[in-house]
Amino acid sequence: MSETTKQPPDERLVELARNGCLDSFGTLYGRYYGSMMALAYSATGDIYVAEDAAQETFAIACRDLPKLRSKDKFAAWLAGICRNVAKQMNRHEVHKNAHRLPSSQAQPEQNLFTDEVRRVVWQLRHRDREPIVLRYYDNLSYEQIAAMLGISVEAVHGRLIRAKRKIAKRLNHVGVTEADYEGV
Amino acid sequence: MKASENNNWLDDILAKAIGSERRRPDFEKWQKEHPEAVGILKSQAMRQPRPLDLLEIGRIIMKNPITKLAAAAAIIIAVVVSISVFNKSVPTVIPTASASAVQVLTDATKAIEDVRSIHIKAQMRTLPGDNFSLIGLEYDFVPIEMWKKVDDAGIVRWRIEKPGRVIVTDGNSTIMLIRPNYAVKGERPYPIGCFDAWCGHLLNVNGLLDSAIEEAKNRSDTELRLRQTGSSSGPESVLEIESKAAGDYTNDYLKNKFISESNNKKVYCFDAETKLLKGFEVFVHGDKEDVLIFEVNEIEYNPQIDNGLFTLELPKDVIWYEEPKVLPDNEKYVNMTPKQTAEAFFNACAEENWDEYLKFVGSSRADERIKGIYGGLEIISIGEPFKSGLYGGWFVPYEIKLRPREFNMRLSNANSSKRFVITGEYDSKLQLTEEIKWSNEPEVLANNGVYAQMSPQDVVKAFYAALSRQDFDEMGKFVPDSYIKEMKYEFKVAAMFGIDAKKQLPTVEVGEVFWSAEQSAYFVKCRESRVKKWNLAVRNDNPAKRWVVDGGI
Repeated sequence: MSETTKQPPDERLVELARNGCLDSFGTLYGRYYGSMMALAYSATGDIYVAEDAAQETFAIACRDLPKLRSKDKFAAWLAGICRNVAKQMNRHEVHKNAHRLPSSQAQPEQNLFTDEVRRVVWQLRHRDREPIVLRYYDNLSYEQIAAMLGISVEAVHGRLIRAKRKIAKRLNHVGVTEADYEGV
Repeated sequence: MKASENNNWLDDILAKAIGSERRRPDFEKWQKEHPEAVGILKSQAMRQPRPLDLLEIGRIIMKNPITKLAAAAAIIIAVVVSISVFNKSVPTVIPTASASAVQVLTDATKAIEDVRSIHIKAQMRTLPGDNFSLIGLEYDFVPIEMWKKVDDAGIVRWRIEKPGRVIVTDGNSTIMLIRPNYAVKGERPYPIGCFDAWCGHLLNVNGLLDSAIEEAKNRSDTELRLRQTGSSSGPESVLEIESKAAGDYTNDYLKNKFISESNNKKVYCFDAETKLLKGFEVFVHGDKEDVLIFEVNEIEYNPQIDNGLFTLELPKDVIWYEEPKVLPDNEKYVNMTPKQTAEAFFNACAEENWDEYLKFVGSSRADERIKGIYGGLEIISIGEPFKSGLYGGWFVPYEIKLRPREFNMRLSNANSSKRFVITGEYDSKLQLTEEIKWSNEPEVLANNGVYAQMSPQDVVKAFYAALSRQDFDEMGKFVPDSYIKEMKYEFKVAAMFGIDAKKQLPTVEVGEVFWSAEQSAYFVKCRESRVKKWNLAVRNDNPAKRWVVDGGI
């Protein structure tokens, strides 16, 4: 039995959605929900605000789909909407302290550790933080991040390297090292 | 992760710190929370511009200087169907025999036995007004809807519809309306799939599947794959059938113009529990990629369907197509060759002998549009006939010069950019033939001054000069974006039919300009000359055995 299922490309799903096919839009939703969450999370630093922003992003995309000129640029277009929405929400929300959000299934000690990591990540410049969150929130490939941010794969690679150096350095400053991590 | 990063511990803590916040997508929840957005999306289908339909074809033929090319291409097949409708065979679905696949098909056949009515919504890459079977890898999707109902007395009623065509059987007769006013009638209930509406076979699922089983035994050049899978709506059996293009492709003119004349893959999806067909897709293997050509979006079993749906209200000025009857001088037309048929047909047009014309087209009267376009034409050349694909007739290459046409362009500079733009096309008697609407004001160009100094005549000349170069950016300075979009599509369609649109563009002479106080606008007189190069479809497989023109005009 063959189980291969070919996923339709974005262009095709966009075309169908433009023709009123809700299922196709649902597939796009499933495909990009994680990425939009990551972008919004990166921008707002608050996972709950990010959830609202991601949902609103798809509502706007649903309404404005006919305005999308290049169907193959859906990801970048959606990302643009998401950034704007997140920006708007940031103006109304004051939650910037991502570290306050405990992971429900983690142990208290580990919360402290991961909270510290988040605090460091959100101290980065937005330009550095965005690829990091896309990479580690949604496990996106370099190619996917590149498409999302509208930059080259090499640029993604460079930004991730730089951002991670900064994270390691800052963690080191607050006393978190590889050795500490191994003990967690 | 790339080795150069060389800090796995950092990857791990970042994945834990950030990845642990992941949320699952919940589209159902999103839909509930955003009913307005869902409503807007669902209404998009209604708002999409229709690229072409027969009504538009007519309009374009009469007026639009460029789009005549594609429209002419489209009309070819419109006529092909109307005459060859009565006994076109079922499309080829030829799986290799496979016990499990046959079982799935057999189960589906049994499951459908209790179904008394069915309603299918689908979409297909085709032209809205053209042949139901016509496909084009680059066409936009066109919605197709089908209904079938079997009453207690066993009377079968069905209806298949796309924007430019509809076929209805009310149990007594079968009528196809090609909008706006062409119709074909069969004085008995024809089987589903007549008039070349192959997609109608989906309404006759058991027949379709029986055909698949039967043909599985006879062809070995096909592949069949069966897989069990699942979706949000439950487990499914998915059957894929690969078929090769049938027919003769010494000349590949018809290759990929119809599903049976393409290398394709049909994907049937059956509900594993009910065994009913729940989805169907057809992919055509193009040169570069597989292209989805046909797709069922929704199948509803046993819906309530009012019998009124299986009747048609025809326009008062309907033109009937009918099978050719034996003429008093029938023998003359029986003995013609395909090439002689083309010559005689075009001569009838050239002489505006419409009685003679009717002997070749099988319609009840000559269409005024056809008269306007082809009357007085001049034959430049008639080429050697050829055959292609499964088509039962011949294609005869021809080149004709159409009678020059006079018309007027309306222009206005009552806009913020103060430059003249084209706002409409009028016939020689100053009757509006095409309104060219600007939904937004013409933009102020970077070099607006240059364009603001152009006279109405300069603008019309510049427009046609840009058209001859296919310089859409330049043309966009004189006509709105919507017009440009339509033209681009027309060029694309023309190219698909092998028409070199650039070579067949009309020559337009720009004449004097005058002011119409009544219209409060400037008008520029134009005279258009056109040469048309194309293939006339002719066939003689009709009861009268005489040659008739089946398309390509």
